Amino acid sequence: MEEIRLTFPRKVSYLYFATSISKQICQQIQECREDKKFAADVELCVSEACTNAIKYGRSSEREDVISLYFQIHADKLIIKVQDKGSGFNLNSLPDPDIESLPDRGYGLYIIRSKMDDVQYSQTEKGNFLTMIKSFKGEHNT
Amino acid sequence: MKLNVTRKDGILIITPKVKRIDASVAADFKSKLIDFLDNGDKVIVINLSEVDFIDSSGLGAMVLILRKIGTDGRIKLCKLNEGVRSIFELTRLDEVFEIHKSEEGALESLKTG
Repeated sequence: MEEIRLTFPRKVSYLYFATSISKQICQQIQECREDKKFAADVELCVSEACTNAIKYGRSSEREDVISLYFQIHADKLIIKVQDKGSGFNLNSLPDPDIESLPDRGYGLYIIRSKMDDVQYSQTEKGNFLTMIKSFKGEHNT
Repeated sequence: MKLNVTRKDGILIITPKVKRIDASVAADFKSKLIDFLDNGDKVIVINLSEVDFIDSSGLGAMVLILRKIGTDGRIKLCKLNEGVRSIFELTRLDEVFEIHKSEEGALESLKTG
């Protein structure tokens, strides 16, 4: 397994930086190069996850940063987004009810739809949103 | 966020001059669209031909405008690329927004419908 770590200030102006890196990383992985949709899904989910972390991950520590981890396995890509905010309960956030036309709440729904597995944990080191996408998973078609 | 703005037969046509509508521009996009509504524009076509990436922040801005227009006006989208359209489909917002392949098609539907 290879891991790439990236830490950047918790500012929306760094969003493009984070998504650009995700695209570059996908270009390094043969399975991703062969499937353009994989890279597009990763870029979208990194944008959604980092946006959430930037909006809600405000830290009381002096270094207010977001960290992004890309773990490249033989069969999957694992992406972790770390923030040091107060966190949330992943299961308490329902999918958006389109009938009521909400203007928010689509981000996690998109992540859940595009990834094979999504986990959330709160640790002493911060909150981690973990997104797992298999190179040959059922979402990777 | 730069927008190209034209008017045709009283219909406001807005073309965002950006490749990406994400959280870094969504608030500005929303605010500019609200200004148009506040100034009396109620029939709008948003041409997304130059946008190749949109995320939930961009979708949220569009939905807010749609809600703000309500039944007083009409809004149509056109020229979505495949990736952008797929996000509308994933979130089922393609059922809420009327999406046209061409700007002419969107304008025609506003004139006839």
